[in-house]
Amino acid sequence: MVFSSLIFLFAYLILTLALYYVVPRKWRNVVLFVVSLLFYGWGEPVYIALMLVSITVAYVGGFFIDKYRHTAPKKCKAAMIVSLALNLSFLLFFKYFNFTMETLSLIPFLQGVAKPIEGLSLPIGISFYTFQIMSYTIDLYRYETEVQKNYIAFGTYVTLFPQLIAGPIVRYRDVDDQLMGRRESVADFAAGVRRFCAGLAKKVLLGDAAAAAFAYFSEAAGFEHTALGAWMTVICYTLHIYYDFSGYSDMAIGLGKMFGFHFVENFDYPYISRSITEFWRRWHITLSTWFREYVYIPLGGNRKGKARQYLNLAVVWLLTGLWHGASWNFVLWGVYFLVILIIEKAFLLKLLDKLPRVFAHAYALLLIGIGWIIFAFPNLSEGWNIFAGLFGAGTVGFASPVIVYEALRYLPLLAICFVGATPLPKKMFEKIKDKPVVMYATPVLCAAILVLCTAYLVDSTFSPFLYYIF
Amino acid sequence: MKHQKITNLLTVLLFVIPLALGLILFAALPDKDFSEEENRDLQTFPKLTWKSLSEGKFGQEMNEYFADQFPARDALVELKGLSELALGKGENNGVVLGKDGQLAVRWFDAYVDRLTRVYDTDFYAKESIDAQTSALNKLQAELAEQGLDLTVIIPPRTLDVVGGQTNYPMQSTDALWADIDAGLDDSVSYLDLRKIMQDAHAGGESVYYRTDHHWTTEGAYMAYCALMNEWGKQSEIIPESMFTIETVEGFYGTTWSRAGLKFVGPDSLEIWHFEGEENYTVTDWTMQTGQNEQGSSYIDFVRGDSFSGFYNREYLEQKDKYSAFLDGTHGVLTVKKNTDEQRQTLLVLKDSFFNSMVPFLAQHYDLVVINLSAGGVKPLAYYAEQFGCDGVLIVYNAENIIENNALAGVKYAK
Repeated sequence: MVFSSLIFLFAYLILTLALYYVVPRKWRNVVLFVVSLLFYGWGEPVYIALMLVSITVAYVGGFFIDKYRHTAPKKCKAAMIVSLALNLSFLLFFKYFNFTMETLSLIPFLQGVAKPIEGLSLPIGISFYTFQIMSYTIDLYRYETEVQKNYIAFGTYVTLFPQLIAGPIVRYRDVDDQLMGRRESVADFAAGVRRFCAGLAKKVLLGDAAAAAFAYFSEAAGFEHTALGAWMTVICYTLHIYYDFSGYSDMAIGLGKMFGFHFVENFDYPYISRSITEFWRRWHITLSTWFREYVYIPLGGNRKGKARQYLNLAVVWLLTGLWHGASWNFVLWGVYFLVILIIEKAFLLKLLDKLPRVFAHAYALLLIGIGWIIFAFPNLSEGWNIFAGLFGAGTVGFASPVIVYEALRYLPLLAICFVGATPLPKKMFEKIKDKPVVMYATPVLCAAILVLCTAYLVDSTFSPFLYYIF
Repeated sequence: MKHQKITNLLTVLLFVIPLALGLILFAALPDKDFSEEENRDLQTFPKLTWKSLSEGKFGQEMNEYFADQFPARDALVELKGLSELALGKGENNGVVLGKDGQLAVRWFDAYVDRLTRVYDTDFYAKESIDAQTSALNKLQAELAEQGLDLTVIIPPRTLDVVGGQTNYPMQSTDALWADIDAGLDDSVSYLDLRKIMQDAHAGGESVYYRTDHHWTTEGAYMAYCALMNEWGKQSEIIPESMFTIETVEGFYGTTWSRAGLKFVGPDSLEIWHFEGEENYTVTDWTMQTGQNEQGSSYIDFVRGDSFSGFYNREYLEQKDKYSAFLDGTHGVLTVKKNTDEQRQTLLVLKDSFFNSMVPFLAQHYDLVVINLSAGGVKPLAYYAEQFGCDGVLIVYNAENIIENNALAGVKYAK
């Protein structure tokens, strides 16, 4: 199920809220656990079983890590390794088995031996929840959190529907105490509603529109390739992926608040960055944090010399690329950022600091946009075609009448998207939000957004999430 | 902070109440099986079986059920359309809004090849157009050998006719017509009606509907006149004054449904009656293919229902009023005059644009009306053997030329 669907809003969410607040406090985790499994299984119920196995493995693993911690360190370590290995193997199998087989079958003597499994579909959100589960096991082993003996509470942590299928990737230790001792409040619920409505508007009104524009311009390039069309393709995708994904994170954080949870932030205006280094501190923060904490630093980080640091970075960015999808363009995407980040670390960051800000912004946005081309097109030659088109190569001209017409049509929307990607609207709202008029207008605005988004959802039944497949 | 407490509570209530209200109304209102507006079956409550549940089909169908049966669906669709206009997009769902509520579909689904189709685009695959024009060139040569004439009409789309009066850049539609022109040999007798229709529209005549993708009866009559001219039969054209015009109000066409711009008012649909129209019989034929004892395949035509006159008036009571012409979509129809006089038979490969031309042309010819857009059309020799054939006419509009490649498969010899 996705948040931006009528059935989620008008059946699942409202019934879940009702049930959650009707039952006594001690039953609330049970409610969340059960309805989250239902949420998860809506599209592919068979994977509920896989989910339960994953939870059980980590739960039992955690139990033994804790049990043997002081008496048998080797057993403790073994429990940690088995738990991690099993959960990781599920991810590797479902996400990468076919990719590996398809790649291997390109080697002549392996043809016919390496066969992909037909009909193997990716369990929704497996990349997200596997990382959450692993954070528990590792943190527990490192004494950074307590063992969770309540299976329901642990299951609730993993399956919690707001962040289940597209993050934020919540570390166990960050919600540990909220699982058993959270206190819901009207203030939190209201803050959650505001955040959820903002996210819904970002996803449905802006993200989906940018997605439609992207689809149009990228298809148009196949018929009539123009430089303007190529630029519009990149700009629309850049806006689409931000509004889609950050809108989803906003909805997740907002929903969490409605149930008394406080999740960490996942985005911090990534497009106002002045370097790629800064961009990755502002984009999908919980994923970067996860890789830093559980891969980069354990490998030695920057503490073992420059050469080792670059190697560590290479590992992290190869994994980051692959995490986004089992396809070579994602590997290339990771390598692309690896190279830029190394260059920035070596000397470019200092230089960028001295340049006028406008140059640094242009530099960062251009490289981010080019990165999205690699990301958006699994077919590398198609991506190359768009990239070359930015500079007029292979095009029939700068623009054609119909491309200009279409670009102009989207101009007001793009303007809203540009402004919305900066902190400006929030700053302005912060200034006036304590005026009584604004205070009373805000709830009405939220309700209006809800109705308007419903209208868009009714009009277009089809509205899949981009980050759904990862 | 007293305000803070009140507004927080208000925020929660204004969020929860609409959701609950939506659910209650959804549950309370009766389900509809069919949407006249969208001309399609709606999803009703899906069957719950173990199989549908485990395959995720139940979940998918529940999603559709919710969207299709959602309360105030039409009003919400309108709200979306209005907000698109407010955003300055100038159109909604690929439909351009022109002056006086003139709607014109701008996006089509381009047929590229059997496996590839590009949805919602201004573009078309030149290869597909070329394949169709060269098939027409071949057909012309084949028919010439048989001593039969071929005439081709490609009715323009609404956009081609009215687009000049909108912001839409007409260069991109002109390119399509240039490609068609360039592809057809000079020997093919081809009628480009764009100029006639554009001029008439600019002159204030209603030749295309505002809310539907078809030409109006007036437009169909103009196409008929142009065709008679092309054939050198100006003197036989039946003048407008011979018809009694019946006007049916409240016609909301397909473009209107797609546009979601509900403030646009309805069209009226005209039926041009003439004396003796009840003496014409429309008969439906079903094609049956089989193999004879020698193993070669044959085709039989089995006579089905027939009616007199050209109209199924039941459609005039419904939303889909244009289907009153010739009873909507059929695979093969014959239109004959009940008379002993010798009449020539015209084989017509067509889409629905031709349906409103039939009452005019039937006064001169017996017609064999073959629906090309439905697919499965056999070599024309089969039809000629069964029904006779003194000439071939193609009336297949530009939208279909872009969206499928049916014309590319047309040939005479078995």
